[in-house]
This record gives sequence, structure tokens and C-alpha cells, in this order.
Amino acid sequence: MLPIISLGGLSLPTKPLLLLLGFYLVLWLGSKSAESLGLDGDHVWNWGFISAIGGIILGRLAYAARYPQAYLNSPLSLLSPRLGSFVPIVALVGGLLAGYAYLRRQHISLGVFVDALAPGLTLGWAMYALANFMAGDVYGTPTSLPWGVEMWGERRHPLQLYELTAALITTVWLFTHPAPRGKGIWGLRLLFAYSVTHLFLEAWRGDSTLVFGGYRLEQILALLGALIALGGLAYLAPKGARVTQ
Amino acid sequence: MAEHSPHISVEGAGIPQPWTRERYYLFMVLVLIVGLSWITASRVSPADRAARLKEAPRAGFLAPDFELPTLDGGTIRLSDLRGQRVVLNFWATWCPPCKAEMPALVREYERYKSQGLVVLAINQAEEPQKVMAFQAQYGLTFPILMDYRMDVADLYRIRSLPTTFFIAPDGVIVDKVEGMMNDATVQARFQHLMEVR
Repeated sequence: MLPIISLGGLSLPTKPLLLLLGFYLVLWLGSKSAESLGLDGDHVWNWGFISAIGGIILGRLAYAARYPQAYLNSPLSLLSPRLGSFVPIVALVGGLLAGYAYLRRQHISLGVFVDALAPGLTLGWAMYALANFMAGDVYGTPTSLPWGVEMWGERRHPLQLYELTAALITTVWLFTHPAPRGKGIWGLRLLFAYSVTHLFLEAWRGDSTLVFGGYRLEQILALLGALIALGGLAYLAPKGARVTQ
Repeated sequence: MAEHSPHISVEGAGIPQPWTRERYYLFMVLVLIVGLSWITASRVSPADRAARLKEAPRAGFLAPDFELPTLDGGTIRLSDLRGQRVVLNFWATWCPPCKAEMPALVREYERYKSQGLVVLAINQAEEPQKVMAFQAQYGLTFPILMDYRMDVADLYRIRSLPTTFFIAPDGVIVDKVEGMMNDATVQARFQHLMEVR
């Protein structure tokens, strides 16, 4: 764990820095990849900023809607940069919707776009896992295994490092099992790998959100994600067995 | 039929795709069965998790226990307040953001204290006279604890001032805010704490 990096007299929070760096790398790699698919790389940068702004605005408005009196008394607080005053799921969905609206407006094929973004997203996923390790977030359950790490008063599964490894394996898998680009297959494969990783690893997570008397919410969402990805891949796959030899 | 695994061409693409739609459907059924089994096998009882809670200064853990002298000569032990909602605010008189959020902390304390809410303002190693002057100037009505050796600040791994912890009646930290809270944030966080069962 290294939640703060000290540079001279300056103390910087590691997680936001890594997340910002990851976001930049996703967009930078995505723009290069988009150009190789014949798409203007600027669309990726525009998409990134519109998604981020859409997510921030909707996430904050959803938070304010939960505590309306607080924000009616102090409306300028809506502009506060405090990251904790958001509803994360609304920010995520809002960001995706804003980004999708941009793609529709620019008449950009979703399949082309997600395939352009997929290689960079694996790197962003790895950075997210590393950021969580540095901050001690998304920590594992207690363990006596020799590779356990001391975190929050106990020896725990280094769950974030498991996820980092999965992200790197996914990167290798995507590139060693090439598929046609531009139809959405790369994006769906990444969604499948991400979902299956979370479905599996969540069993060792120490701070899962529990629903329905002990089921882990993230596992249920991950199973849905895996099924959606497979459904999409099935839709894109040829019907029957047309064999090329 | 090919001798080995057949490759199916995707129209308009040069790279063969080895799986047919039917094969994906079969795989979906397999993932659904294995996934549901794994979700069921890895469920955790909320009561078990609560029983195994450890002390650590972060949301979701038991608030580390401590005892400190108060500015008016008494002592307060955190664990004695179990059953009440507690807000711990680490602060100092020389810290401008601490000063800025104090009026909102007083306001929310006054709003909820009759419902059992306690605010403990933990001063960081300052002279009592200086703290008393600050208390009078800002009209602080909640208890002020004197962390003379900053042991409690170390226990709670305080990296910047102000830092505020919101603790539920069962002693579990529900929220931690590093840095200054604006008026709306203070009101929202206190309201959230009061809604926690």
C-alpha cells in the first residue's frame, strides 16, 4: 500500500493519479487504434471528455437528489470537486450514455468504436487494479497463504494483484487470438474476460456489497455481463457450420 | 468436414472465427450454470462478516478505540459511546479549512444531538489556552478532546487536516472524509449517518 506519494514537500494521492494516467492511456491508445481502423482519433478524445463530463454531472445531480435540502441551502456546493459526493453507478451509466449519444450524433459505428478502444481498456483495467492496491481499496479476505499481504490489520489475499494479473492475461489473450476488428468482437471479448474475472475473484473480496442475505452484488452483475458478452458474440458469429478449408 | 477443429469464415473479414452461433449458445448455458453455482458457493453471511470485523481507520471497519482527556478536564472513551452515532473530527486552530467547516459542524450537531448524535472534535497537540480561545470564538458546543501526543491521529492514520469519521451505533465507520467539507457535504453526511441503522 502506498496511498500517498511524497514529491519534495508535496503529498499526492496515488489512486487518483493512477486513475487519471490510466484514463489518459486508454484514450491515447484508443485514438491510435481508431486511426488504424479508419476512424479519426480525435473522436476518441472527444468521446472520453464527453463521457467524463456527463458522468460527473449526472453523478453529482443524483447525489444532490438524495440530499435535496442540503443542496438547496447551498447550491454552489454542486460545483465542489469532492469525489465522494457522487453516486458512482449513476456517474458510470451517465458517462456511458453521454458517450453513446456522442457516437450516435457523429454516426460512428459502436462496433468499430469498442474494438478501437478494447486494447487500451485492458491497460486501463490494469491501472485500476494497481490504483486499488496502492490505496488499499477492493481488498481481499483474510488468508494464511504465503503470498498474502498485510492490509487493514490482517494478512489478506492480494485481490488487486490477482485482478492486475487477469488484466495482463486478457491483454495477451486478445492479441494471441485475433478476431476481425470493427464488428465489436474485441470489445465483447474484453467484456467477457472482465466479467468472468470478477465473477470468479469476487469470492475472495473482503468488502463486497451483499444483497439477498449474503449474495455478492458484483458477482451477479458480472454474470450478467458475461452473458451479455456471449450473447453479443453469438449474434455476430456465423449460423451453422460453414467450414473453410 | 475437417479432421481438426473447423474454422468458419466471417463474411468480409480475413480472420477465421472458430465458433458458431450454436456453440456460443451452448457456452452461455454452461457459463450460466457454473456462474450461478459459484455465486451460491461463495455467498457470505452478513452476520458472520460482522462478527469478524476488525478495527481499522476506514469505512466498513470498527472504529479503533481510544481514550482522551477533554478540554474541560474529563476523559472520553470512544467505546463508551457504543449505541450512539459519533462523528470524529480531527482539527487544529492553525488549519484554515478546519475553521471553515466548524460552523457547519456546530449547526448539524445542534440539529441532531437530541437524537443521540455525538461530535468529538480531536485537537492536534495544541495548548489548551489556544483551543479555549478558539472554542469561544467559534461557539463550539461539542466536546473537544486533546490529542497531546497525536497518538490517536497515528491510530487513525491522519494524513491531512481536517479529517472526519462518521461512526454508526454498532461502532462501524460508515464514512471518512479527508479535507474540508462544504456546507452541503456536511449536511448530507450527517443526514446519511442519521439514516444508518
